[in-house]
Amino acid sequence: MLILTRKSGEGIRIGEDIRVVILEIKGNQVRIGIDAPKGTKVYRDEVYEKIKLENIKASVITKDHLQKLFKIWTDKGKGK
Amino acid sequence: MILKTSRFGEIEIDEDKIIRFVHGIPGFPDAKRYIILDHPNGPDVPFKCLHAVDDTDLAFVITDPVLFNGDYNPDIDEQELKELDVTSPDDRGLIVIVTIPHGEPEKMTANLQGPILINLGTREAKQILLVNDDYPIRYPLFQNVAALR
Repeated sequence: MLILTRKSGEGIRIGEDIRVVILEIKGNQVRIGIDAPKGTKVYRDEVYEKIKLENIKASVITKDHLQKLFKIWTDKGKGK
Repeated sequence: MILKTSRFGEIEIDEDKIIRFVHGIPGFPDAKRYIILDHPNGPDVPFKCLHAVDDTDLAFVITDPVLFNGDYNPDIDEQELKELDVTSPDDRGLIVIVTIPHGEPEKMTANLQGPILINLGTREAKQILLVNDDYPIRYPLFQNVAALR
């Protein structure tokens, strides 16, 4: 991993069209501004990871699960 | 075509109904083609199976989020809609993935933070990561399931 030291107001360029600027440093929080072309997805790391882990968890289904699911659904009186 | 599945055996599917995820789904970047299978108990059951076409094992349970949360109306970024070429509300399909905890299916939850947007015309799809925290990643589908017992 490339590691750079930056001060508040300074920035980094990634390739031709992505710019990251350190806007403010306060205690252990850093505000970052990102200029990237439309269509470039920028997510907080943990959001992407969270969704990914949840997908992996959700992909573990069995036929038995589906039957139980059906039973819960009908027992609930069609969800009402 | 014939879809080979580890759970349901071989199923005849209509190729025109294949849904394409250009970027795959986070965690499963290689599976790009999926098909929606009805629940084995019939098309009226609101839980369906999103099954990978090129992977016999990969499948998700999906549902219509509005059935369980009538107010569900996430604010989807203009750019995401454009990417899938969704121009009219008629083209916009939204489903959510259900997580079924092992051994405790009654505690199933739906991922409202990462809905799947489908262009119903082109059948291109994408999992959207909502940036605001309005909707939880684990929304309990049966809030009062304990009361039933």
